[in-house]
Amino acid sequence: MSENKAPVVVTKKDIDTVFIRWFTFAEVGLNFERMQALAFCNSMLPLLQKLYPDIEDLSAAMQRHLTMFNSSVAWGGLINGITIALEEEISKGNEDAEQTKTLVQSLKTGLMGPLAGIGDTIDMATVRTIIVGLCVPFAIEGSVIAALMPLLVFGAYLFINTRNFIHLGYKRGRDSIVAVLKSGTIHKLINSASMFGLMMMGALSASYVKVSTPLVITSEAGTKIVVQEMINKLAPSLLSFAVVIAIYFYIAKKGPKFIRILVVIIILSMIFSYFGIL
Amino acid sequence: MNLFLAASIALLYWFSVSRLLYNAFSIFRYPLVMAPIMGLLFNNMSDALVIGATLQMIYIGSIAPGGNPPADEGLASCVAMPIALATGMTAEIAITIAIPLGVLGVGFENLRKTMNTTFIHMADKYALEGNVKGVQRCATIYPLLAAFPLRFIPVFVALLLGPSAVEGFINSLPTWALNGLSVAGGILPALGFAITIIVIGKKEYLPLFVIGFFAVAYLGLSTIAIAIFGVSAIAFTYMTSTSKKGENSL
Repeated sequence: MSENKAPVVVTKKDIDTVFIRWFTFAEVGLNFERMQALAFCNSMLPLLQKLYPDIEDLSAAMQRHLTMFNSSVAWGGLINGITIALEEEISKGNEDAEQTKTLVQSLKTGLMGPLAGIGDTIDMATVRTIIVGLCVPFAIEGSVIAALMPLLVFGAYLFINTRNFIHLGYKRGRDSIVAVLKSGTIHKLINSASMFGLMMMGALSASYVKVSTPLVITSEAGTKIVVQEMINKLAPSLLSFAVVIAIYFYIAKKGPKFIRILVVIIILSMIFSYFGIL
Repeated sequence: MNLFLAASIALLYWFSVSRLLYNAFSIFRYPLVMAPIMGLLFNNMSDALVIGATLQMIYIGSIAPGGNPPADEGLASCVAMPIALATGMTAEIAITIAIPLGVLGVGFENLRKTMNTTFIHMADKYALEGNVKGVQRCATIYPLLAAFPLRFIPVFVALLLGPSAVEGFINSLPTWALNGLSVAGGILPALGFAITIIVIGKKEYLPLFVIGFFAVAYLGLSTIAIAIFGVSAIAFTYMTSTSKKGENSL
């Protein structure tokens, strides 16, 4: 343990270095055993070197951050920020250092799940899907800008958010972040995003899911009944609606067996096509 | 397809799924975003945009909850799109080759995550020695290089041999099978949306899905119109409910 040295100050630039390293490599070393652990540790390296001149402290700190980690890259940035603050604490070598070391671990494992959930819901499911959904019709009509727009808009959104979350996590520290996560505000914000997201998923489903039947039933009197026309009279796009809802309830019941569902969709499409039903 | 073109696209695939820069903003591999690049490479922007946007529809709600992706949009972009452009096939037929490729790509991704476990063990050893440069390499250069043959070779080979083989295969398919694949192409976005609804969660919000769906189906509103109505309605409920705070704590 280093003794009686002037405490190292973490600067804004140090935090930005963590951010750039985190954002660039977050999922490059992704692996089944410890997911984003390599990237988390790698993002902290220059900072840890600065905080721990003693190689044994440095080695211990590196091992601390090679443990299992998996979260939203953007929202999980809060954890990176808090971790920077805590490592700064530990490096001061006060008597509560050992306690803080265990705190880092429990905080990382405790927060990564909920933040991953928020990131998936807001960024990936809602924001990204909606941006792409809005751009597709313009791209089909030949707009290059509409095709590149999702990359620019969503890219900037993630870049700025991740940086802000890391700085926020460092500045506000663990207590305020935990408080915010437990407060009604974030809960309400997520609820609003979820409501908007579901409405948009409905709109996008109606635009992009295309199921219709070519079936024509000829009655004994010889009149032809076009089945799709009957369905349209009942409710337009009813088949598409039914398909989305059916898959939703299947996943809700049986879990995320995506590949199985995909294969079943392809096989059923073939069979229904063979019999002229779809 | 000529060597240079095949190699450039294979390189593009490696980069687009390398996850550099958070998966190049986790959107670079999308057929929609790849379309302008393919349009430049094949000097056919209008067809590239139609094919890219059409392929995008099957992956539109394709998210990876818990890192569990339902398809590899990158492989579909970098094989189906160039083959379609090289042979002049329609966007609908391009979908039929993209679908199996997307599934195959998930296998590549799982292989990558398995290979990468080697580097975390290597990093453990470096960390014990306090070797910063070693850990850094394990998290950056090594996984990128290890993924290179896995990503580059299949696409390179597929593009060199692919166009004629795929064309022959598509021509040999009976009409019902081709129709079946395009039917599947119309249904597959439903899988993406269903996954997205699951991730967003909250069963009690399902009626909002119904409202959004039939606002488009019955009234023929555009998705942008729904976005405007949706944001306004939800902002209204958000603001009017702020008075009763503390009710919704986690």
